[in-house]
Amino acid sequence: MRAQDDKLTPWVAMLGPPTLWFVHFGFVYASASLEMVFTERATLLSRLVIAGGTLLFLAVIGWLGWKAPRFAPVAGKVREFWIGVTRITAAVSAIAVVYQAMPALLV
Amino acid sequence: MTAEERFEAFEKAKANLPDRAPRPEGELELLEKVWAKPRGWRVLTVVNNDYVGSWYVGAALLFFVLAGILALLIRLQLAMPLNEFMGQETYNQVFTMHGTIMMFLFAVPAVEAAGVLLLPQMFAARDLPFPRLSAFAFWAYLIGGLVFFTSLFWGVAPDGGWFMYPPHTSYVFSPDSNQDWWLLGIGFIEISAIAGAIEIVVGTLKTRSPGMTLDKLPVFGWAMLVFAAMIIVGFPAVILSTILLELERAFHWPFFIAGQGGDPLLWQHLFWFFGHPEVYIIFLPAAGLMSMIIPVVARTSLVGYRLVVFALIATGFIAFGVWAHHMFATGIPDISVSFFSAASMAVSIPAGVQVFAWIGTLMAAKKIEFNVPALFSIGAIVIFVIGGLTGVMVAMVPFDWQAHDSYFVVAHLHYVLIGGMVFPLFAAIYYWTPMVSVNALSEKRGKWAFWLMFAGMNLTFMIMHWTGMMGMPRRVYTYLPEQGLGTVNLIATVGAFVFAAGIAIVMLDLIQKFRFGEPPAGNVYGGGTLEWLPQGDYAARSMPVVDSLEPLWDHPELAEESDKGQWFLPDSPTGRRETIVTSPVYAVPQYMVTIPGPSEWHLFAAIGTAGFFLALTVKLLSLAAVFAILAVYSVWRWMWELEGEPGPDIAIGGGMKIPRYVSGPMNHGVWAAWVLVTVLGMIFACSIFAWFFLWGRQPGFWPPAGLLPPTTDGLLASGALYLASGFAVWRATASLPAKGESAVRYALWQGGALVLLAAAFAVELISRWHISPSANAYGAMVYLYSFLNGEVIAMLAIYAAFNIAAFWKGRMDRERRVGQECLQILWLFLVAQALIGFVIVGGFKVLA
Amino acid sequence: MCSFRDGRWFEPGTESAARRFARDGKAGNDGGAYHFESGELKRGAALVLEAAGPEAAPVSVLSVALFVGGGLVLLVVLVWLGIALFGPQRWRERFSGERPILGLGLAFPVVVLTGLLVIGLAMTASLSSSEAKPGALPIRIEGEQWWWRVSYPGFETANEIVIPTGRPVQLQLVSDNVIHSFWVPQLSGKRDMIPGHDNRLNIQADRPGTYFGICAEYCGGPHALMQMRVHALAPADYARWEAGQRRRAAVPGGPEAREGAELFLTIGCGKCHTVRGTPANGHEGPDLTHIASRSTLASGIMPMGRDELTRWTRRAQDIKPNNLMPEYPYAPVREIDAISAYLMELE
Repeated sequence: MRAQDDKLTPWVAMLGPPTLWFVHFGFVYASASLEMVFTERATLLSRLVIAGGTLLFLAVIGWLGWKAPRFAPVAGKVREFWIGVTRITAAVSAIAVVYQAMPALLV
Repeated sequence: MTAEERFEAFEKAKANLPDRAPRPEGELELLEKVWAKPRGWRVLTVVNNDYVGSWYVGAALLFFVLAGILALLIRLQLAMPLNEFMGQETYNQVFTMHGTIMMFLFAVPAVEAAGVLLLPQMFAARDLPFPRLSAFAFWAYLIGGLVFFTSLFWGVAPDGGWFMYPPHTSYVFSPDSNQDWWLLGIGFIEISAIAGAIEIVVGTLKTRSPGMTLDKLPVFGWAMLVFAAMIIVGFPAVILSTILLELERAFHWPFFIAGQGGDPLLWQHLFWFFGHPEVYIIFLPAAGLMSMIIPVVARTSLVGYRLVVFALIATGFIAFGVWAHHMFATGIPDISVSFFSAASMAVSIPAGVQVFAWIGTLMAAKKIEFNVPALFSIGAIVIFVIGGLTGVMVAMVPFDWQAHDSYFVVAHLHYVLIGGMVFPLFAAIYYWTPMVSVNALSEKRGKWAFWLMFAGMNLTFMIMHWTGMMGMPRRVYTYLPEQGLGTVNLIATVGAFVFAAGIAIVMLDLIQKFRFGEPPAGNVYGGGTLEWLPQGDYAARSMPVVDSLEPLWDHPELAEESDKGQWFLPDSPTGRRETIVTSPVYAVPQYMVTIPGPSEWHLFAAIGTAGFFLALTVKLLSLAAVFAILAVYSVWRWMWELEGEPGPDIAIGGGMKIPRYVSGPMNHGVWAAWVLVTVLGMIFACSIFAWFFLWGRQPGFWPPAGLLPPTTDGLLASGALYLASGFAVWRATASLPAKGESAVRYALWQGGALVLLAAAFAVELISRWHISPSANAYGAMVYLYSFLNGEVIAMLAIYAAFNIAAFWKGRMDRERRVGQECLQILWLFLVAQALIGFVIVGGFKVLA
Repeated sequence: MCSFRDGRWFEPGTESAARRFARDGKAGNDGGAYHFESGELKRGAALVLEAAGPEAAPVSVLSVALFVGGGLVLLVVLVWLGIALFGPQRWRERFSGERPILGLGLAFPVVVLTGLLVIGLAMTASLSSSEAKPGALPIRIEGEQWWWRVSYPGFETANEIVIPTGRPVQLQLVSDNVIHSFWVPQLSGKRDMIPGHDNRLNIQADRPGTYFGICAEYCGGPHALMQMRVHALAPADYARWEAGQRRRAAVPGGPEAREGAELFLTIGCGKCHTVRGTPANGHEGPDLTHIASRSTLASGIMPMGRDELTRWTRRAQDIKPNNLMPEYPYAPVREIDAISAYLMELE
């Protein structure tokens, strides 16, 4: 039985989706800000970049949630717990990523 | 031993426990002697977490009462229009101190104190891994906080609001020392919060009862883990912003002065990047306390444990995307504010899960007994929900443009903080007092207190939503009769006194009933977690293996077994204080850590630190130097007594043997070093944000016309020297000799590394010598990088000297090497930080 | 700095001038150029919900909707909590477990929050309050310590902003000292005035009236007393007012006013104040060219009048502590009163 206790993989899998949410947050904020530094306004360019990037982030978060069993600790009840937490965290991270992209479409 | 072998050995050992054989004579006596608390005046040197934790809670409550009195003064002043109870100067100081003390000297320390007091007990660990560090954090906080408070009596208390916006707080508009006192007070809290966070991360992940896998971690443990992580990520922003403001105030480096390339909004970004997560830093531990109490009220396991854990984690992350919702009215572009609005909506989702998990647990109850912890918990849910709903309202940008900085926000934040933190804390005080005190608190008085507090709180703050809609801004010392605000304010004032009466009852009851002693009143509310095992100075006698979240409900016999020493570590095998270090997910025992006992050195270190900052605030430089020497010397002595030493493996029960000393990535000290590196790295990351932010305010002028950037030769040479010093430290670590072997190579490499580092820093300064840091924000930012490097270098120089001394005295060698490993981690971090700084500064030079 | 010992901790109560004015003060309104009624402000009402223009009206509706909606959600939670605490055993068994948590705690908030986010973003975009609208009247407002400098194309005034009804107005909000925030709840949400930033805000009043405004960002000292008025006038009245403001200052008529005009210059008022058409051209304090045309004094905290002016000049630090206007308590009352007489002729 592999204890997997000296590995970072389970942590990366569990904390990956919300971390990606934060990276995505920084990405949309920086894209819009950078464009505004040069052009004064956030135009179609940054909005398209944001839309495309968002799809990519959603795909990775979805994959992490879907593959949760692959990365969870192997032994014991903690495995089931880990998969559950990872999946719901991934789901809400995905919702939050969508929220984060909405201003680019609506404002 | 590999991780797998340890896992196997642990499985075997578990099968052998509990061990019913009688324990040897004298074992318990030794344990008691080792863990005994000094008496008399030496009680001040105690480091046992039950004492330090209780003092810590007590100090936090003292500041709660003090800041509460200030709140009553505020309410008296505002009771009627143009009241002359206080003048504006006094009022401005009082409201600033109220906010600052409540946030920094009450709320954060109170939840941190709860962690120090409860976590080791919940894990059945003997103590936290760095008990002197928590004691140091407590003393620094207490001394610094009290001195900070007295600034009110001399009329030099800060008056810039707890948010301290420059330019009002900078040297032009606040030339007196008032704001320096704020920076001083916050300095202490930064130090003690970071110290506490290191303690809690390492303690929660590494010193649990063997076999307490993460799915059986009490929710409070999860909450404190997220809390500590948030401090590690969030506090660096306020550390950096206080550094910037002090540099601007003391040396006129214009980070926030618009006319010289700075920007007042930089402060707001940095402050709120800390300041909003701060709210969750306060709320999450309190929510963790609620999640421990509500199952006991309902006599059933927490419903949706994994959902609550998810809510804690998700909140911890999303909290870092909401900071600019304090800045909706600053005129930043609509699309930018909208990103923060979106995150502010998203952060409400986990809060909803959290609240309905509590209600779901109450739903599952067979019968609910409405005792005082139950009342405070239920009251907390109601109040917190109202605060959460108004939070969603202000997350809507157009509504916030109206509500922002009005009394609506005052109402909102008090609902969130009182419902999310104060009421849970009071529930916790009633629930856990019997764990450390010989008397429980009075249920009857507690119920009176609850109803007064609940009614008073709502009376005070419910009306304020409306007051805000009526156009009353925050932070006004008075209002005119024409504004028509008299009635609503009078109602709020009456409510405040009702609220205060409730709090007074609890405080008087605490003063009357709380007494340390043996035996404590015990498990009066019938909790099922390990802190209710029988306790001595050594905490639980032995560490049981748990198989559920409430082991004492499922296996009541555990209490007796643990007390008879039938589980892990029933003794003190090395004759010193120790606890078992376990692996993070499965809590498999890894090695035995020696814990330091009582000492005056952390106490002197706290006095030295406090004195140093105080002397700086009143600008007595030579006195500051004396205190600095005291602090450094005390820390030196403290660290000197710290490390365990290698020896034969130790039996911890059930036939399992673990090493006495482990270096490398498993070591708790190495973990602490990594946590510290994360803190320093976040400070540096915030400074990079500041660089790009200030550049974005005036692109193309960076460095501004007429200013020359640092010389390329200088940057390259300094970078090469930094790299060389990193290489030398690496070689030094690799060439640590075995005990008794020749030390020449180590000494040469380590000494060489120091020389190279000094040279690197000197060349770094020469490369920018032609730039004035006080002329323009560009220069200030360039020097800020050097300032941050210099701070770490000063620390490393002392640390390296310490290591060389330890080596000299035979306290360090190839095996006993954790000190050198930690030094190397910090050193390599510094090299990376310096090089990244050079790349940024040099990169902009290429662009310009 | 104050200390416990010299008794300023609880600054004991001599009734301040501001309070006396607030109690006894009456507005002077005795003919001449355009005059505003003071005291017609809405009192004790929820100003945010009493919108008077298109920038504020949607937010009033939104506020009411949020209060009602928030109340309903609170009700749902309280009912649910009530069931948990006191409900019949059968219901409680049915409602315990993870499912209701996911339904009420996760799915329900996600639906509501998504809706609110869409509404909020759409409104943010539509109110998008920084771009000038066609035909907008530009006014520059500078946050001073602790009053408002109001600049129209061609003339300057203070603490009272006069706008025509039905026409968009674009405010340029700036500060060169500390941060202030412009807030007239009935006309729009607030917008900060930050050194180094050039913030814009659109407002428009649909009906004539006087609207209360106040600084909403803590700016130290007498922040509480940094108030203002916005007077919305029918376009014809506005034109009359504007024409009046463009004129140079009136020449003092009576002997008392003439003496006051001289004193005004000799005791140095002109170092800080401008009276167009006279040697007084200071820029530190408010422009007084047409001070008598304003309805309030000392940034919206006292009614305008001769007695009030005299008391303000003599006791400015008592009425509004730490403000930058020096007080003249030892100057002969008669002289100060003469200056007030002069100022009251500056319509």
